[in-house]
Amino acid sequence: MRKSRIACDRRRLSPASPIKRRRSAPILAIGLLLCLLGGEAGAEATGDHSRFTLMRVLLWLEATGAQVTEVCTQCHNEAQGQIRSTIHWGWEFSEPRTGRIAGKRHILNGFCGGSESLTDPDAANAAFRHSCFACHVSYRRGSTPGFGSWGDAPGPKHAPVSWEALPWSGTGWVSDPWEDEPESEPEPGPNSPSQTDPGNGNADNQTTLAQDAAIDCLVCHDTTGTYHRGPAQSAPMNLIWIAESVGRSSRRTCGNCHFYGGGADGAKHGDLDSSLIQPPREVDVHMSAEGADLTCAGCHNPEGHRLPGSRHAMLARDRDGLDKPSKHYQSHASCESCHGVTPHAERAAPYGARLDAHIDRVACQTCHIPEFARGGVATRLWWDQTSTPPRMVAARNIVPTYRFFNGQMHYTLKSDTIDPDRPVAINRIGGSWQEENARIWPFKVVRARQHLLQEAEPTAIAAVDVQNVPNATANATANATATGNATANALGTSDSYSWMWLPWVWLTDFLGWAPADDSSAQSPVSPPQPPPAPRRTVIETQMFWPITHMVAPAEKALRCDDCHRPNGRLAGLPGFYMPGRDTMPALDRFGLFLVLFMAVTSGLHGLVRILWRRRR
Amino acid sequence: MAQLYVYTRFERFWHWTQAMLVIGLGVTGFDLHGTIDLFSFEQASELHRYMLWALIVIWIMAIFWHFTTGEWRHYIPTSKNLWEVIDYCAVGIVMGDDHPFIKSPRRKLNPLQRLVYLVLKLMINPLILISGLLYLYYKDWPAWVSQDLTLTDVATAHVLGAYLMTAYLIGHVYMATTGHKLFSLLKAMITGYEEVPDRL
Repeated sequence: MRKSRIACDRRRLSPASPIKRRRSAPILAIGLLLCLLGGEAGAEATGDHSRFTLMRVLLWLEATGAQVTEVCTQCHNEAQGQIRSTIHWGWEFSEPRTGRIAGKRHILNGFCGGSESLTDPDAANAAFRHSCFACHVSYRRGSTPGFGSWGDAPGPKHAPVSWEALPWSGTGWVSDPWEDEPESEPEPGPNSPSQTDPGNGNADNQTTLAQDAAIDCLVCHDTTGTYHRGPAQSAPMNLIWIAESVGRSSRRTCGNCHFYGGGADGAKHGDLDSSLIQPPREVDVHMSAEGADLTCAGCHNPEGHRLPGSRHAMLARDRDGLDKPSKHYQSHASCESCHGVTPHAERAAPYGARLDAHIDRVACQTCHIPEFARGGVATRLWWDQTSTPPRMVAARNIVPTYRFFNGQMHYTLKSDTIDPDRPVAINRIGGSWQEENARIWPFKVVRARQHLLQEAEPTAIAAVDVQNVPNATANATANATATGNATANALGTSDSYSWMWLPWVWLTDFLGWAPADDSSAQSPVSPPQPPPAPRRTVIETQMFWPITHMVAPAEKALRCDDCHRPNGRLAGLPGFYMPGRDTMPALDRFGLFLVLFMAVTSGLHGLVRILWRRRR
Repeated sequence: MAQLYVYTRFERFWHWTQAMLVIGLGVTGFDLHGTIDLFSFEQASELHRYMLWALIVIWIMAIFWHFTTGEWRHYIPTSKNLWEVIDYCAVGIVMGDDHPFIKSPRRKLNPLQRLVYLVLKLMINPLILISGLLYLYYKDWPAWVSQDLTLTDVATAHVLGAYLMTAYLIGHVYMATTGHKLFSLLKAMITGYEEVPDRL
């Protein structure tokens, strides 16, 4: 039965399916039925993990997460290098157009912390599972042979994952899994992603080996739905069963992290929450079983563990259209890759053609995601982390904010200089209506009031003028310091700011992650000296999240009136004429005058005619 | 009074079809513009587009008719008696004077009508039609068009044309009441026969 389930998953994700999706639907249904009947007919997998004897033996000897990884990589021996090159491992992203290094590690964050775990100790386990701390695809490395505290597990068969098995201990990035990346890593340029070549010659490096074993395969490849990275006290798991059942990722495995970002279900993205695990068709036509029943990887189609379609650099306008077997084939992460560039052609002419005429300026998402957070899960819009207890505003069914977007997000980095007296843009949207590749996109805007910890001693970190990031070139980082200094002076302050979020400190304090913890003693990296007491500043932040999931059925898409009216959804987009939205005040006044003049003149003329005739 | 056959069957068909289309285009157009709100944008734009094509068909037929029948000669402008007609419209019509212009099948239009219709047909109609087609095919503009024109220009021209047409329409409807009786000109445009003074 297990095996069949895996096979089902694979069939669903067959690479040919995006193009022939409609035709393959009956086949999928039959396959699914066969799977449910427990038959072998639907099986396409060439390997059955539950029958790999060596794997079972090794896991019976020592069932730890790291041991699972050791066993996996015996056969999948390119996987480690691939994982280490991805954003899932590095939390680092090279902006292709500017060369700036962004990613979770470097950008600011209006959500970081997980304050639920502070206010509600009973909820600590759940909150922890759902917080960003649980979501790095690694175990803690450094100790042998169990890579962490796996040895404390109650038994080899039922080894719970310990939260200590995470890359962090103490306050900050003490056992940072990236710290020991080889120095030879090529400097990312504008055209070369920061990823290192998978499986490169660093395998001899002890650090690399340790990192290999620290990769958590199961968090993405669990098909049982029982694997978790919660604290040791939470539900025990049968790691062997989980390992035997590995398969392709699912909405659930991806969602374990991506649905719960920001510390609660749906808090962060707005278009990603637990309602997408089994969504009704109205919530998401693509992921619904009544619709295409796609998994995340159906669109974010991985190649060598690299997933296309990161929000850090999006394809705001896909001119290529349908994916054909080509060098672009791996990326289905645009609507056009499945629906083509004339997606409304089936509609009656001329209406379909009129809709198609929009897609050079309007992203598909703009009309087809009329509201986000439609699955019944509220998403966070405002978070005051400085009040006690933290105050939040969360809502469902939210009308997005619309902006022209060329795919390039400009993130403010932790190393950038900011003006704490003004609302800080965590990211800004690249693009304007004049740009050919920019289209109107929907966004969630989230605001927060949070603590900025200003370092007592200014450091010589690079700083970039927040206001001028769009102009940043590939050399931005190199030139940044000079620009930043100038800006700092202009802002009337010469301080640099280091970004540490207070909730983070609270959380680590609460969980007892003190640097003196024995876990840090196990770490080969010595903990950094505690920084001098920082100065707290309260700042306001604002962040834009592109909305691209929760695509509604076609009949629920926006109508013309939603935008082509004076107070429509695009009322706030300036700069260009839009029929129905924009009036021409001068011309309208003139026209009204002309028409009224004509009417009044005619009326008076007629009145005089009638009166005169009577008098006669 | 004598009955005179002034407006042929095609002429009347053309006139009334065009009248309905122009009014329909005006209503839907001003709906799209946001001046009035009768339809959804979708309905209005679709109706506007259908009526556009109907109008183009009727215009092509009318142009063909004008040239094959020689009717276009009615629109040759003349300054002869122009002032008399204007004077009549302003003063004489109120005083009960006779119309200085006597209609005949060879001269259907008085000098003022000639001028007004010529302006309508050679300036307002083309202004609306050309700007409207440019508006409709905005996405397909060749480079040499998009170099010099913006959508704002085209929309402005189209809306200006619409206001001029509306003003014309009001004047036209009013002038239709200035016959011998209130509806005699209207009746002529329906039946084709107009009562003209015997003094011909």
